[in-house]
Order: sequence, then structure tokens, then C-alpha cells
Amino acid sequence: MDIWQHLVYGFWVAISPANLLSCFLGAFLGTLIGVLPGLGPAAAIALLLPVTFTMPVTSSLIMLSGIYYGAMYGGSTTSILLNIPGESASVVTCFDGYQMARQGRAGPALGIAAFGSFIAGTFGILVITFIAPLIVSVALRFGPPEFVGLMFLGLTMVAFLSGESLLKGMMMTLVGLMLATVGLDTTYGTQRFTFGIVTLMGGIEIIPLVMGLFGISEVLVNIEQVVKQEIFKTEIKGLLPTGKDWRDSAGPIARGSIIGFFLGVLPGVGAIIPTFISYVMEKKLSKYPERFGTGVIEGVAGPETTNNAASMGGFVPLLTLGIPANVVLALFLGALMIHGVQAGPLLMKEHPDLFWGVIASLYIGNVILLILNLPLIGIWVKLLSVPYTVLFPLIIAFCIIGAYSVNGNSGDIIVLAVFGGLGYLMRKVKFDGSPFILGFILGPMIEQALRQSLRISNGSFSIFVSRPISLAFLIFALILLLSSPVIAWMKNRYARLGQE
Amino acid sequence: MIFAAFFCLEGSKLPLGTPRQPGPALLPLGYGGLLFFLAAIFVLRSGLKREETGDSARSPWRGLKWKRVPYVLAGVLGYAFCLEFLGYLISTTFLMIVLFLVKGLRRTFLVLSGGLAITIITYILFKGLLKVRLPSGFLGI
Repeated sequence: MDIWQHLVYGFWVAISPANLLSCFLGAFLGTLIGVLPGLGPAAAIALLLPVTFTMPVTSSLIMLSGIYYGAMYGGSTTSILLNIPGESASVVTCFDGYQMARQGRAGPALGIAAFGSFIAGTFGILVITFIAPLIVSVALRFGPPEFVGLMFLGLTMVAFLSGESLLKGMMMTLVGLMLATVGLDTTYGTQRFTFGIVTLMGGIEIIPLVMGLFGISEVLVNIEQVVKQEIFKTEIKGLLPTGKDWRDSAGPIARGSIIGFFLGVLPGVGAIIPTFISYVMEKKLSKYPERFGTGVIEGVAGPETTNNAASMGGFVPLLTLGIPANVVLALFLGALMIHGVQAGPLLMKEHPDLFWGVIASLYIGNVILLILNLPLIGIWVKLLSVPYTVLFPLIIAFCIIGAYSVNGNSGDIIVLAVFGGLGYLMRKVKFDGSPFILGFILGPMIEQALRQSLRISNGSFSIFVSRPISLAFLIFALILLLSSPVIAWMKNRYARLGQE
Repeated sequence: MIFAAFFCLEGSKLPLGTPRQPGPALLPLGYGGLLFFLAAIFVLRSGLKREETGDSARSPWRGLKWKRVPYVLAGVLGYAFCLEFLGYLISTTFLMIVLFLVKGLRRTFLVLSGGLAITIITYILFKGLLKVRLPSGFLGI
């Protein structure tokens, strides 16, 4: 079957009533969550993960995908109207989006954000459709040593790019890897670090862990705030951008689609870095860079396009190699594992309905989002007036039910509270949760691939450097690790020279 | 560092295995050792930085109502211990009331009705619609 036949099959899967409903619900809930400040896509997926347990795996993944790109879409609304990013990738949209709203141009800002996101999403999906089978054909030649190298590189990139220091990122990765070893050793049947606690015998449950780390900790950070947020009162009219708006935005949308997608493919880059790159690039390319930050449409079109393209790019390593590019996609991997599906090169062959169904649903979801986003903006704005005093007990109730429903075990609520507290402290001391969660999810896979590799090589670690692909991954990871102190040293040196 | 040392200590009680047949202790010990080393560098670097700059970092809790956080966590932990005995409806209503009070809501009617409303809405949504199993408690509801 060629790509087109696969895609037709994917559409056939995606337009089944159950999957279409999942896609719609995902896009709707994602937009809703993206609109609400203080609840990012990671927390949203963590909250809704238990809801997808009872669904078939394809519907579940389609819904989670909808939540992810829906949140990316919805985040722009609060950035433009409140000057608060609905999720972190919409930070840059605040710079010019809010200024446009103050000048009475909230409509075109919201409109171009929606159209730009739609174009970027569609571009991303087209590239995924053609690129994914090529990567899978290469990845099918990978053995356990290559996967160890690849996962090591993925973890290194996430540690390198997340947070403020490589050291903190590496420490978080290791803590995640260590906690992944808790529970039963599947090869030997030995209990590790369980201390006789029944809840820990099957390992730490991923659902309460991520809900605590991302959901509860986000609530805890928000409830200690004393600032009251007011909605900027403006009439939203003329959502369709004018001809001039389109002419000004065409370049930023085209560049944002390409930059966002290809940077989004790289593990650890996420959607935030590409949006900043897009903004800086548009400012540099502009004939009037001094007007950036005062409400120019290019400052909204570029970053908003980029963050959606990046979220699409992240699906490439997940669907083809089983390597999540960011924390949200790590939760997708967790969802697949809960359903007993192994992500990786064999996914396309063993579960074509899932692989192509999800890809086709991305097309459908993008259209749904465009239809949803423009007419419903008035409703989203009204939602912003729901006080946090009402919202936060509701979020905690969702987290508690989610954690409990995994095994019907109240011990999982204790796990939720413990990781909620840990996540809160991590936010306070600026330790990023992404490397932690990636280490936790990839930990069992690394252990299994490492054991298989050592069995193949009769216990020789040289297998990782004697195979060219594995060696290439390890060299690249080593370059990243070594470059960090060099970059820090150069920064210090230039800062000192500047002072002198 | 303490966490890494504890992990290594506990890991050392497990069989290490051989390179050909790695035992359950191999990776935990490797991770623990590496974390201990990195944590030591982190502590050293932080100490040196503080000495160089001579000032202490601004507290991340300054100007915030941080005391709400331990109350919320204690509420959730207490909830975990009472849930099976009291059942979902009673324990969740209590927790919601505690959360409203922690957030500073003082009007009794609002606190009680809000707590009940959230409990009933989530009960209908999860137990009624999504068929999630929730504990009935001693009252059997």
C-alpha cells in the first residue's frame, strides 16, 4: 500500500462516529483548557488520561491529540485579551497580541492566530504523512543497542534544552530514571525499593505521578498568588483579517510553519523556543523592527503559527521511533503503554489503524478547531471570568478521581499528593519536570534494551560503540554534554569583557 | 545527595548480576552513583556562587500566601486516608469545604453549597456517566 492508500484508510478510521466524536471532544476540551490560564496542556492531558481508559486505544489517542493541539490554539486567546499566556508556548503572542487588543484590533489578532495555526497545522500534518514512513523504514533496522543510543540522546537533549541549567536537567532525568526502577523487576521478579508498600509493588503509577507533578503543583502555585486578574474590556469584532493583514502575515506564517515543524521534531525543543526564534527572526526581517511590541500583526502571526507547527513536529519521533519530543508527548507514550501498545517503528505495521487514524484525525481536528475557534471566541472570553476559587477545587477533585480510578486504590491519592508537593517545590527552585517525566517513562525501555544489548554482546559494553548508528547517537549526545560548560564559559568570558 | 545515597544503599541489597546477565541492582546503583556525583557538583557550585556574589537568593515564597499550600496537601492526604471509610460523597464534600476555606472564602452558605455542588457534579459525571468505581463508605452510598 502506498501513502495515499494508507491515508485513505486513516480517514476511514478517523471518520467513524466514535473517533470523530473523540476528535471533536479533544479539540473542544483542549481549546477550553488552553483558554483557561493556570492549566497547561500537560496538566490537561494528565487530568483527562483516566477518562480515555475505557475507550479503544485509537479513539483515546485521537482525543488526546485533539487536547494537545486544541490547547495550543486556545492559548492565544488569553495572551491577546488578558496579556496572560493560556499555556507557555503563547508567551510571545502577548507582546503584540495584547497591544493589538488595546488598540481595538483584538478581532484580527485572534483571527490571524486561528488561521495561522490552521495553516501551520495542515503543513505539519502533510509533512508527517510523507516523512513518517521514511523514518520508520530506517528505524526498522534498529536493534536494542541503537535504541539505547537513541533514548540516551533523547534524554540528553531534553536535559540540555529544558530549564536553566544542564546540571539541573540531568539530575531530574536521573531522578525520573531511578523512580522508574521502583516495583517489580520484570526479568528477575525481584521487588525493588517497595519497602513492603502494596501500592508500590507494581511500580509508581504514571497517572497519579503526572497529575501530581503537573496538575496539583500548578494549582498549588496558583493558589498562593495574591494578584487579581482583570479582563481587558474590548469589543471583539472583525475576526477576519483584512487584505493588508494577510499580506503582512503571509511571510511570518510560511516561515513559522517551517521553523516550528522542524524544531518541534527535536526532543526537548518543545514549542516555546521556536516561538521566540520566530519572533526574533520576524523582527530582524521587518522593515520596521522598532514597531514590534507595539501591536504589529507579524508579531502574532509568526509565533502563533510556529507553536502549532512545533506541536505537529513532535508527533514525528513519537509515532516513528517511540521517543517523545516533549512532556505532553511523553504522556501520550504513557497512554499507549497503559493500553498495552508499544510505540516505535513497529507501530505503523502492527497498528495501522492507530498510526494512520491518528494522522488523519489531525487533518480533521485542524478543521474542527478553525470552525470552533472563530465563532466561539465570545464564549471563551466569558469563561475567563470564572473565579479561580471555583476552578481550583474542581481541578483537585478531577485529579483525585483520576488517581483513584486507576486501580481503585486510595494509596494512589497519596502518590498524587506526594508528587504534587514535589512538583510545587521543583517549580519553586526552578527544576524542570520534563526531563523527570521523560526519564520515568523511558526508564523501563532503556533497562530492557540495555539488558538485551548486553546479552547480544556477551556482556561487552563495546556493542554501543561498535555499531555505527548507536555510536553516532552517543557522539551527538556527548557533544551536547560537553558543549554546555563551553557555552557557559564563553558567556561568562564575554560578560566579563563587556564589563571591562 | 541524601536521596541518591539512600537509593544506592537500598540498591546495594539487591543482586548486581554479571555484565552478561545484569541484575536488578545494576541500573539503580549506576543512576544513584551518578546522581550523587552531580548533586555534589551542584551543591559545591551553588555554595561558590553564593560566596562570589555575597548575597543570598531572593526567597521564592516572599510576598505569597504560601501557607495555603501545606493545608491543601494535608487536606488531600487526609482525604486519602478517610476515603474508603467515609465514602466518596462525604469525604469529597469535606475536602471541598476545606479547600474553599483555605482559599479564603468565608461565607458559610457559599462554602457549603459550593462543596456540595462540586461533589455532586463530579459524582454524576464520573460515576453516572463514565461508570468510574467510587468508594461507597460505611453508609453504602
